[in-house]
Formats: sequence, C-alpha cells, structure tokens
Amino acid sequence: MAAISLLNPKAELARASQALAVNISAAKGIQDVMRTNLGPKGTMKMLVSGAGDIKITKDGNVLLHEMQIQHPTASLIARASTAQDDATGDGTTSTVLLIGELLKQADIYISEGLHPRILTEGFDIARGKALEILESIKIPIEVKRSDLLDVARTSLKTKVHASLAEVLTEACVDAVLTIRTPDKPADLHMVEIMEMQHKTATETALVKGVVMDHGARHPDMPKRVENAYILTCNISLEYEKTEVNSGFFYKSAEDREKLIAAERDFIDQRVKAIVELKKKLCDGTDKNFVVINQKGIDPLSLDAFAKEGIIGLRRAKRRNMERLALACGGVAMNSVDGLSEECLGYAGLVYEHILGEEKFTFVENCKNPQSVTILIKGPNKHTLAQIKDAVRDGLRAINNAIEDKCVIPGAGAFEIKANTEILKFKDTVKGKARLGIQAYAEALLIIPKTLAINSGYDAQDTIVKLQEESRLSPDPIGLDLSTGEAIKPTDLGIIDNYVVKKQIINSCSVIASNLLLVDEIMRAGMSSLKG
Amino acid sequence: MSTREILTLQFGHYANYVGAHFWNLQELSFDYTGIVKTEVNHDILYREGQTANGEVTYTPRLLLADLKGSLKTLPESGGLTSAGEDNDLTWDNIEKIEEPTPPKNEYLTDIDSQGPSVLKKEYNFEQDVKTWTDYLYPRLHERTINIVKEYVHGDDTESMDVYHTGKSLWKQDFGDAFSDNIRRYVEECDSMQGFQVNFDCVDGFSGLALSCIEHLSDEYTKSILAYPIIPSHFPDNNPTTQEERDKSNLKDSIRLVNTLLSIQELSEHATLFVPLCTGDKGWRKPGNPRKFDYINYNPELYYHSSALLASAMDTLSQKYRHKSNIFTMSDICADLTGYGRKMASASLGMPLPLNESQYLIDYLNTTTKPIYSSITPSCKIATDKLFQLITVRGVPESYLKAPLKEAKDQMNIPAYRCNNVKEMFELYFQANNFLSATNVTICEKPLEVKTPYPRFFSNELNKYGFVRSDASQEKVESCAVVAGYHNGNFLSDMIEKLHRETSRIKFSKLHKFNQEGFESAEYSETLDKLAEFKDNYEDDFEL
Repeated sequence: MAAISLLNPKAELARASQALAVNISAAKGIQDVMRTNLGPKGTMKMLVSGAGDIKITKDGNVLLHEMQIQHPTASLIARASTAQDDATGDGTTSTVLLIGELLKQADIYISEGLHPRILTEGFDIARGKALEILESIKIPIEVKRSDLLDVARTSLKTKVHASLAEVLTEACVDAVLTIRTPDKPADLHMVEIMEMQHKTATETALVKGVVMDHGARHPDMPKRVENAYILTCNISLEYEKTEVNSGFFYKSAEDREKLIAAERDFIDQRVKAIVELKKKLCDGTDKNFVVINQKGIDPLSLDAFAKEGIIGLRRAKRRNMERLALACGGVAMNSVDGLSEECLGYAGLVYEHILGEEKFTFVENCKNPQSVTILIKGPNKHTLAQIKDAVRDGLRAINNAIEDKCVIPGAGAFEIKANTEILKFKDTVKGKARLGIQAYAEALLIIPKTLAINSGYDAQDTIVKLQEESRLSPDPIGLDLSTGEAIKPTDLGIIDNYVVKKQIINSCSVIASNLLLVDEIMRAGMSSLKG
Repeated sequence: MSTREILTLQFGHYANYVGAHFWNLQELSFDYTGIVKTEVNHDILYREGQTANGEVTYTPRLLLADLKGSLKTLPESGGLTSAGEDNDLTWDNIEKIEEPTPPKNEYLTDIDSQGPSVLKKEYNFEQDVKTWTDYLYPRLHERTINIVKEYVHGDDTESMDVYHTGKSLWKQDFGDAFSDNIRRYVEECDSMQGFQVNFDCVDGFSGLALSCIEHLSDEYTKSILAYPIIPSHFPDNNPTTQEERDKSNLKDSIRLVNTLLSIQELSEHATLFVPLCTGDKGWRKPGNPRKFDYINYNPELYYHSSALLASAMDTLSQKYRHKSNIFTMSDICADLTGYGRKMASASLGMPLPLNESQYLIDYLNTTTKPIYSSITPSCKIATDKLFQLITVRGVPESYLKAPLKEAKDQMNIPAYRCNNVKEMFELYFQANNFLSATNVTICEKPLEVKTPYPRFFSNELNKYGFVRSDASQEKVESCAVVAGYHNGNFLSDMIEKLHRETSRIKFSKLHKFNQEGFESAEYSETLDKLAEFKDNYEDDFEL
C-alpha cells in the first residue's frame, strides 16, 4: 500500500510502471491528434460547436486552446506547448510531437528494464549536443527584405493556404520593416490588426497608416478629406451632469435644464478653442482638419464641428492614440490650453468606409509612419480568426529573426543533421547513458517523418533517403514536400527561426524527462481539511 | 433631450439567468401595434443596428460573459447572423470535429418557427431549463456574447471559482477584447447615463467583473450601478456524507471570500451597488428562501429565483428609463450614496396583494406586514432613518379609494384626502418610516408575466395579479409590483455580519487563493478596509 493511502484512504493513485504508462499513453494520444497538422501539407481541423460555431485551423496553439483536454498529463504537455507559443510565436505542434516521441522511444528501453533516471541523463547530454549542432548550422542574416520574406513565408505556410500565405508574408514583412527603428526589435503593438468582414481573404493588405473601427457620428461631416491636420486628444467634449440629489430636491425638469445650460457652456469653450485653431490654420487653404478624441463628443459638439467641415471621431481606442501619434506625428493633447500647429499630426488622406452597421476610418498617406495597420479581410468570421492568428505568428517570426540576427534551414534539415551527429557522438559516450542519447536521436526524426507522411510519402523511404544524402553533403539537407526528394532548404528559401528551435529542444527535453521520472500519480484533494 | 443610453454588463452564469428573464421582460413588453402608450423608452437599453445583409436589428445594448459550454443551443454570434452560408474553403483536406448538437427544447423550436405568436402554449420549463439560453427570447448582437475559453462550465476539476482567477483573466486577451467591445458600444451612444453591471459575486466572475468595473471607472466618467448577485442555491448545499460536508464547507468559504472581496472593491470603484439574493442569509449558505405571499417558488431552480430578481431590477430601473427622462442613473446614485454609503439594499413586493374588491386605501390601512421584503442578503431593512426610492407599478387609479358617496369609514382615514396613488404611497411611507426621505415613482403598467416567465403564482390570484374573492380559475397575466432601494444605518449590520463571518475563516487553509498569489496579509487588509467602509454607516454621521 502506498504511503498516501495511509494518510488519505480516498486518494486515487497509480504507481511506478502504471504511472509511466499513463503518462506515455497521454503523450501519445495528444501527439496523435496533432500530428496530421504539421507542416504546410498538414490538414486543417474544423471544430464545430454544438450551437454551430465554426473554427477552422491548423495552428497547433489554437487547437490546444480550443480542445478541452481532461487528462492531466496531456494538459501539462499542452500547457508547455502553448507556453512555447507565448514565448516565440511558433513551434507548438513540433513541441507536442517531440515530447510524445521522446516518451515513445523511452518506453522501448524502459520496458526492457532500463531505469528512467539513466535515460533522462542521456537526454540531457543529447540536448547539449543538439544545441551545439543548432549553433553550428545557423545562418547569420542581415535585416533584408528577401531574407525576412523567407522566414515569414515558412511560418505562414504552416498556418494558412499557400496563396494566402504569399499575401500575408508581404504584408507582415513590410509592416515590420516600416515601423522598425534600426538596431531595435520592433514593437509589434504598433502593428494594428483590423478585421473587416468583406470580400475575400486574399484582399488582406497592409495600410501604412491607421485604420479605426468607428467613424464620424454626424451626417454632415465630410466622408473623405485630403491633406488633413490630425488633432489627437483626450478631452471630454461631452456634457456630463454634475451629481445633485435631484430625486429629493428637484421638482421639475425646467429647474434642471437651467442648470444644464449653465454647465454646458464649459464644454462649448473647449469646442470653440478647437474650431478657432482650425480656422486659423485651414481657412483659405486646401487643408482640412480631423479631430480624433479618446473621450466622448456629444451631438451638440459634433454639430459645431460639422458646421466647420471638421471630421470628429470620438472614443478612439487608447492604443490607437499612441499609434496615431506615431503614424501621423503630433502629440495627444490633454487640454485645449496651448493648442498649436506643432501639436497636430498630418495625413494625406482620411476617409470613411461603411459596411452594414460598421464604419471604418482610414488615416493614410502619412509622412513617416511609425505605426501601420494590417487590414484583414475575409468572407466570414472563422476565416478572419484564422488569418488573425496567422498574422500574429508571422509578425513574431519576423521579429524573432531580426532579434536573433540568424536563421536555420527548415524542412526538417536540422533534425536530420542532429540525428546523424548525435548518433556519431553517442559512440564517444561511455555507459548506459548512451541509450538515452540513442533514444533522443531517434525521437528527433519524428519531425521529418511526419512532414513526409503528411505530404503522402513513405516515412522510412524518406528518412533513409535524407540520411544518405545528409551523410554525403556538408550542408544541411531537408525534405522537399512537393517532390519527396532531398533538397537544400536554403536554396528554396525554407528557413526557420533559430530561437523557436532552441526553445523546442530545451522545453521538450525537460518535460519529457520530468514525465519519465514520475513514479506515482495521485489524486488527493485537500477536501479533508476544514476550510 | 436625447436618449440617455445604458450599457448593461452581465458576468457569470446566475447573472445571465437573471439577465435572460430581464431581457425577456423587456422584449415581450414591446408593442408592435403602435396603439399602446408605453412609459418606458426602450432605446435606453436597446440599440438599432444592421446586419451585414442590411436587415435592421434591434438588440439589447448588452455584453455578457459566461464559461465555455454554458450556451448550449445559442451560437456565440447571438443568433442573428446566419453562419456557414458559404464554404469556399481553400483547403483540400479538412478534418471535421463536430460536437453533438444539443436538441432545442420545445419553446426554442417554437419561437424559431413561429415567432412571438406562441405565447399561449404551456411549456414545462421547470424541467426543460438547463441553462439560461433555454428560455431566452431575444436574439443578441454578435458582440454581446463573450465566452471564457479557459474554463468549462460545470467542470469540477478546473473551475473558475476564485476571485483572482477572474482578475488575471481580465489581464489576458479576454479583457482586451471585452474592453474593446465596451468602447464600441459607448462610441455609439450620444449621451450615455451609465453602466449597469450584474455579476455573480461568489465565483471567479467576481474578479472579472471587478476588474471590468475598475476599467470603467478609469476610462469613462459615468455612473456605475452594480448588482453583485448570490445564487439562490448551490448544488453542494445539502451534503449527506462527512466528505461532502467538508467539501461544501470549503466551497462555502471560498464563496464567502469572493463575496467579501467583491463588496470591498465595489466600495472603491462602483458608484452604487446593491447586493441581491433570494436567500435570506446569502453567505455560508444562501439560507431560507425569502417569502413572497402568493408565490410558490423553488429556490433550487435558478429559473424561478432569477425571475424574482429580474422583476425587481426591471421595476427599480423604471425610474431612470421613463420616457420623460427626468431622472438618470446618476441622480439615483447621488440620492442614495450620501456620506460614502455606496452600498444600498433592495426590496421587492410581488405581487402587491391587494384584494380585487379592495381599495388601496383600505389595504394600506389594514396591512400590518411591510409591503415588501428585502432581497439583499443578511439584511433586514429598518423602518426609520432611511433614504429610499420606491417604485410602484400596476396599481390602477381606480383602486385608490371609494368615491365620495360610498366612502363611509374611509373618510375617517387621513389618507382619504390623497388624490392619486403617488400621494397615497408617499403618505404611507411618511407614516411608517420615521426620519426618512422617500421618493416614490408610480408606473401605470403592471409587470406583464408572459411565457417564459415562471408560473409560480398561487391560484388565489386573478388575471391582474390581485387576490381573488371568488373561486374562478384564471391565469395570471400581469401583477402589481413594488420595489425599492433603501439606504441607512441598518446596512452596517449587514457589513458587520459579513465581517464577522469572514474573519472567522482560516485563510491559510484556502490554498486556491494562495496559489493565485493572494496572501493572508492582504486578506486582513481587505477585512480592515471593510470595517472602515462600515464606519460610513455609523450613527455619528446621521443627517
């Protein structure tokens, strides 16, 4: 009887080999679910909820979030993988596959009586070696459009359809390049992602400016202006009634109206100050004026603006205020005091687009935009969601490459190379730990194997082919998914993020080792303790 | 003046039960014929919009949050847009993983097929209702429903039952998306009067709601009226074995701590808040159900108890939803919250048990019981030193008093000189409540109780909800309701009870809070702050 049973007779538990079996079967289970989604040729999953809500995806991260994972081990793996995504933006499916495969390989040795501790020691040594190999094959890059395009394309092709990936690749790379200041990683918050349920997915485009999801609330305001001053401000232009104990002390509506009129004047002064500035700067020229306010603008104030031909937008998103300042220049004003031309931004074109009840305002043709918008279009909700996830990952991939200043060849090249090298290295290690190293090397092959299977090729054939090729060539060799032949990934522009691979190697080894070392699983709540 | 809009926010499962009844009451009182004169300006709570296909929609200005799996048959898009019309999927190989479609109950199938004409039929809601969407009549805007994907409804192993899980949820994508939805609703409004926030204060939704309220008070200078709600019953309330009892105790403690944290934080961020529960105690266990004469409700059915709370909310809100627009939410908040007493209690009297052949004057003269009972947990509404706002609806002027010729004894009652219902109630409260300020609002229209409102009325009521004097059988179609907000010294008792109960908890035993980084030092700080808040209700500050 296990010790815990003495303390808590209600505890459920699984011990030693049984515990390991539980962990391994869970890891295999989750691996089975995810394996078909790996790589550009992987399938999509369409999740339909009971009420008919649709989600279509092949992004491992999204899948793991959507699936309700009950098994504790499986959910541990899922969390590790989604943490991978949080940290680097990619590699979720690979993480799940690799953890599963490490446990599968380990299972073979453990069933022959090898102690898990020895295996994990082997894993640890192999991990160190794998990192060395990763270091050796990395390719330094300059921040060049062509290189970044390759990185983004490789990542995006695993998330969305090839034709769409091409469009998104360009948009993402240009977005990052526009907002980036040399020698600093780009602040991805300055790339706004805006959804528009309209037309088709391939019309997704980059707007070098800001797109807002609201429009002017007055029928007489112009729908389109060119050559515009942009005033961004955080000033309430809305009458707020001061709180008075009206229920007890006010008898009639007229009393209150009088008070309102007096207080209203205060707001009118602010509106007047803005209108004055507009008159001073724009009257007699071909220039226009746009007010974008974070606070409210009430109908009376809107009216005053409309009379002057000023476009007024209210309740702008807080983050958009920052973006507007970066895109158009100028500073966000908190009061009408000291309002001057220097505070204003500039945009060549401001126009409104209406879709059903949704309005969009485009602020474009800025002089030196430090903030841009990727405008996602798609015929339905689930397409938009899918593209949004993909764009986020694409941006991350590009930013990773810029930060790393290097990339690695993709298409399974690293895994093949590492497999060969680690197997060679194994012979130099003494003792049973080499079994762990052997298992590790075998497990790495799951990535090229799955890539091959998902593209309709035979796994063994492919691996043998690649291994042979790899032995002959000094350069890393990967798999061409369209022909099933060995290629040099760099020639085809298939390159991966360095940091993603590094993270995968580290986290998978650690989690697999932890799971292997579990010798008792128990479910014993704190229920017996009085709260 | 233009419409003064209100944005309603609902957090949590029980709050959504209440909400479903509330919106049913609204939508079923719409008049499509144009003949009936309505007192309520529906534009305050509703918004007009357009679907992508150009159809005009009229939907609640509402955002709600619930856990995954709680919606059952209602799609996340709110049921207005028809999804899945085009399938130009660019992918060749798709694995389809479908959850089984839950069957729609009779009521939902009927409203889908026939529209609102099916109200005559009888349905067995008591059995059919498994979740709030099962009796939800309105269709919602696609922005409205916000699902918490991280936790599953009804999942015991990983449940969202701690205040701080909700708080951290707000800091993630959920909060971003939610606050953006708030902003988009507010952007549409020309002159908003405020926010109404209904939330479950016993589980993780309390933290979510409070984070949201904090956001609202930072971002918008509008009134925030909050209703922290305690459900009428919990599945673990009647433990039979020792183990179940221990579990139930632990859960009660967690719920209590969540309630404490909600109330303490509300006292900092809300403009006015009114805790609600149909049980008399609210904490440790919801307690015995509050009694309403001529209503037999089952507190174990959320479908029943939530209807009472929804009726109260609907009645209370009449005041600031009236077409004349004289009062706004901020007036009400200002009226009630003098001396920093941001917490008020609420009461409900439903039905107002007038005999059908009795005059109001006689009823008020003879009745010995208060005409309402408290629906705020652990709170007994005092009879003196009150600030109160009372709304009475559905008492026809013809019931006021006997005409001069038949008046007889009524002449001797001082109330006979009152010329309308309003004056009479004002006099009634003046006489009954010593040292109090009472503001009475009268609405002509009674509360209409159309299907799917629960049929929990006693047989002794007639069609209009008055007590019948003969033995004929009629279905209740509407009833007179009185509801009120009350504030005064008496609330310090309630805070005292909460404080006493929460100080007894051995906080270190509640691991779930510790896991979320909430430590016992902070806990005692919260208790101290609650005690400070209680001081606002002490006598020294009186009038």
